[in-house]
Amino acid sequence: MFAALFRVIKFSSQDFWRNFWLSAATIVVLILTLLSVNFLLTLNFLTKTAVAEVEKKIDVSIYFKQGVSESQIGSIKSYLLSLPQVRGVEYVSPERALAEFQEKHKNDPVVMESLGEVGDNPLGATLIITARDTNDYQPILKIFDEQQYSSIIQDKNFEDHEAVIKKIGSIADKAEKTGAGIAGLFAIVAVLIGFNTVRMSIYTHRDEIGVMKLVGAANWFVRAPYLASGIFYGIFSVLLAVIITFPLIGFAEPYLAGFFSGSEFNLLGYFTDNFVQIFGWQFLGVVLLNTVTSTLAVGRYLKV
Amino acid sequence: MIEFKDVEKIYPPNIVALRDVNLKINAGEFVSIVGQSGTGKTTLIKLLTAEERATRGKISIGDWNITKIRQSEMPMLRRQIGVIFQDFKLLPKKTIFENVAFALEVCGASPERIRKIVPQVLKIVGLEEKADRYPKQISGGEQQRAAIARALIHRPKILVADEPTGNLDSINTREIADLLLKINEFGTTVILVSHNRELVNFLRRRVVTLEQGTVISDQEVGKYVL
Repeated sequence: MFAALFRVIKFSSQDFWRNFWLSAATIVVLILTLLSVNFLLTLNFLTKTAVAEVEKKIDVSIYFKQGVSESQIGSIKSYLLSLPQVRGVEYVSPERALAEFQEKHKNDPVVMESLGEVGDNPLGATLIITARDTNDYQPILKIFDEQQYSSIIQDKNFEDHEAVIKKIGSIADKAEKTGAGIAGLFAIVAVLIGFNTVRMSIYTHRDEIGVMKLVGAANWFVRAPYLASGIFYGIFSVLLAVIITFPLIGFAEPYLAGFFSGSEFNLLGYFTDNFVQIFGWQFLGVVLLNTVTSTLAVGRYLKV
Repeated sequence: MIEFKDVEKIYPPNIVALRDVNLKINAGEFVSIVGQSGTGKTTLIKLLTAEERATRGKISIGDWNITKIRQSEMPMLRRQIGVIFQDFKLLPKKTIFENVAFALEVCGASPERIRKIVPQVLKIVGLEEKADRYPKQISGGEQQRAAIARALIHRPKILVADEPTGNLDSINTREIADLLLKINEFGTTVILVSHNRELVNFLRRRVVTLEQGTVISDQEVGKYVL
């Protein structure tokens, strides 16, 4: 058993080195395929980070009428925070609202003059709500349509944001669908290229397979070196893809991070944290691709 | 004993390669199968090695019905029938030793056995000095001798030679003929497929002549008559 296993590995490695350029070409194609997959993962990460950043900047404000007590607003805030869709609620007092309004319009004499004429603080308290998902704003704000709230609420600015929220939701959806589509297309192209490369490699070995059959080799013994080669290709291509991917990320990260200044952006961390999943699946994918391809291709020459 | 009984081979759509072939070859015999190109000589060999299946009839080796052989039995059959070809079918990226050893390796022989048997067989064919060379580094005649060594490595009961001298000059042809006779003397049944008149006449052994897929002559000590 050990002799057979040793021989399978020996044939496979002999084949690898004696057909070095063909082996190298096969591995290069597999590496390019894996790098394409990693590029798509990066693109997906960037899209998600960008959408998350924009989503974080969205909030809705509930403007309360003057005279609504702070405790009343406090209980509404507590209720909102208990909702799973709500990420955060910020209370802005009438005094702070006025101060911010004055700061914002300090260069507009007409507004400032009007404010002076009114005399008292005309602004009520405000609750600024941020949701976990842009789709959550609609159900959250629906709560304020109820009778008990309509008497104390001056205004909601959701209508202002609604179009933006819908647009971002749609962009995020489209980006995800397009990404999935491109990834799918790439995966098909990668599988076809990989399939053809391995098939080509086995085609060049058809004489060897013929001789093996001629001298009485068992079918499993004919197939085994090609399956072992598939594992070798998997190891080499994933290893080299790792060696290429990480320096590339290290190089690109500072430039990409520039687009997300002020936010958490860690592409290297994403690849490091998910190292086993990303490269483990890629290894299994390459081995599976090689196994299926070599089984089909060798089968063709086994009919001798 | 090898027996072809009412054997017929038709390739799709309707190309008759062999028709009503009846042939008996005794153990230890040396038989030349002759005929012009396209008369079914190679098809006959392919049926014997189970590379092709007969459309009708029965082929047997001893009690073994080759026409109904299972895929799993094929390696066993191939180890009992050594085959050599006009184009040698040596693996160019393996040395002569490795080419011959390959036949044992793929069948699970131990390294000790390989180290013992391969030099012996290479000595029989006169290639012990060239064991480390690659096929392209030796002559055509030597390549064919290496192919014969590989075919003999399992000590087969039958050796099939399909146009073994087709690529060789007259000197190398004579050497291969002598080698085949020597192998036959050891008790191996030799079936030689050839359209080399000189070779067949030199051997002075049984000659079976095929024409348009049928046996038209079978002489105990025959000559190439076409």
